[in-house]
Amino acid sequence: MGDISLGISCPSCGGALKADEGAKSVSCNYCNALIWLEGDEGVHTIMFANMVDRTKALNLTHEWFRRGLKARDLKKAGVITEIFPLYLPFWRLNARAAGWVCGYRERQKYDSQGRPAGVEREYMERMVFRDFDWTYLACDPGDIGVKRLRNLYGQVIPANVNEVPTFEVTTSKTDALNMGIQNVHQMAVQSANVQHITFQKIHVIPRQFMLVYYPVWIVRYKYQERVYFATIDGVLGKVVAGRAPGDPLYQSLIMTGGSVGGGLAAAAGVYLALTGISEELGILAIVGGVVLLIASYLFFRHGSEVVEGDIEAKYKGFSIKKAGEISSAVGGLRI
Amino acid sequence: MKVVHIKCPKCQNPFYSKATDTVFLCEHCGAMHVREPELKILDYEFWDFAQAYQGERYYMPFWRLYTTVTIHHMQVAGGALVKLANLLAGGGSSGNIFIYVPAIELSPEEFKYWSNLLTFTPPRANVALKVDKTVPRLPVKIGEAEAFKLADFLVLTYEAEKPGVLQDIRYDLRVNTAKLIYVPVFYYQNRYYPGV
Ligand SMILES: [Zn+2]
Repeated sequence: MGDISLGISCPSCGGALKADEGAKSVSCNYCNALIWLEGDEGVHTIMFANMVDRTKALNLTHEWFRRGLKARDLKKAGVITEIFPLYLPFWRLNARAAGWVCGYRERQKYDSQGRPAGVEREYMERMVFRDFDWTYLACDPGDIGVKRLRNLYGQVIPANVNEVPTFEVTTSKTDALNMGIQNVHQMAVQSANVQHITFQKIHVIPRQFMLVYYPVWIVRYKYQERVYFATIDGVLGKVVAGRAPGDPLYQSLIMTGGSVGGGLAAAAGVYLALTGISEELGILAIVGGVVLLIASYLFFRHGSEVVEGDIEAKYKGFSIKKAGEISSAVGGLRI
Repeated sequence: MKVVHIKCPKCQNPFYSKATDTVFLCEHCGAMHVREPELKILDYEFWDFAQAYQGERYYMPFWRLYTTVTIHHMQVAGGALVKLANLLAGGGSSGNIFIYVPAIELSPEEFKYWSNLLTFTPPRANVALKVDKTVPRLPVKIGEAEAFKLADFLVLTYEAEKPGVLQDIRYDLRVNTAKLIYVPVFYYQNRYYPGV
């Protein structure tokens, strides 16, 4: 069944053996001898065809420029400086979780007049018995806004990892598998949706573990002397992540709305507290108002950028240096 | 990479086959072995086809685990009286059960169907004295270690599905013996049906 030539021959007839990478036993295509492959376990690797060409990638980027709260003149003033295809390796674990999560949920009860009347416990026993998929980036390409796979299907092509621009896998198979098992365990417990857990036991049984080489296009562009980026999914044909300049008009609207709302709430709070109508409500309003003010300030400071994709919430200067380096290395190859 | 032609560990007969499996049945001496996680000869039996049904005939592998379950502590909310383990002889807190765990890849629904069917209503099957070699064996995809985990899950399921809402349980599950059972089945319109 396997397609990949192992570069080894059958110990029985000398014919070339073909098998899926990661397979442990294989039947010789010539003499039917059953062969056992030991040690140096490979990793089952698949690769998806890139369905997006350069023209389409450019078009997708320009469409993306126009969408959302991005700077209104981005389509005109944004200058694409680099655009190149790339394969990103992802670990993918498909595992079955089998177990139970028991516990309870607490609910506030009210009497007929709407007054609190104690807490009610709802007991729960939830079975978890289903398959989970976990994926995670297996390399370190810098900030390109993609950490997990959103899509697991595509046209599978022979995995010629050495012939396409890609990143080296930086996590070991064992580490990745352990991380995947832990994550599936966590997902399984969460899927049970039990608020207070009194008992839990979940077995995670790996079914498939592989490396998926997934095609993307990396776009770097300039706007008002600052560098931004976009990442295009090469199978689905859409922008899945990126950074873009925000629009000053939207920002000032949000800023104004934020400060006016925050100021009003705070003022109302001071009034309520001072006039003695309700001290608690007053303090709450003051706190709420101040939070709103801070939020709009933060949005204004950092909201000058629109971000999409798996980008950490904490603001930090971005670098796509690594993806840039590879673009120059493969420049003559694909672009 | 080490490449070896698979031979029977008992009689050294070399294996030839187009189909691949994780268990290897010697046509010469009848010994069955696995090579992962370590080389080991397996205990197995085939059951006779006792029913005629539409569809193709197959042997479906199950791990039959002879287990001892001991419940040390159990806390249940809502149920007035908790009956510990109906399955366990005399309703005590300890007993022996045969648990059947499907050894092929099945959807969660089919997995439950087959394990419940064989664990709770074991058919009166005859052990085949002569295995019908024209009937293909479905390849074993769930190893013994995974079967132990799934058996543990099934025991927990039997307890949780009793009246009341399980809140806490402490128990031991000991697997005394494991045997691979090939159950005759019919494959018809994308489903397997028991042939016993
Ligand atoms: Zn033999």
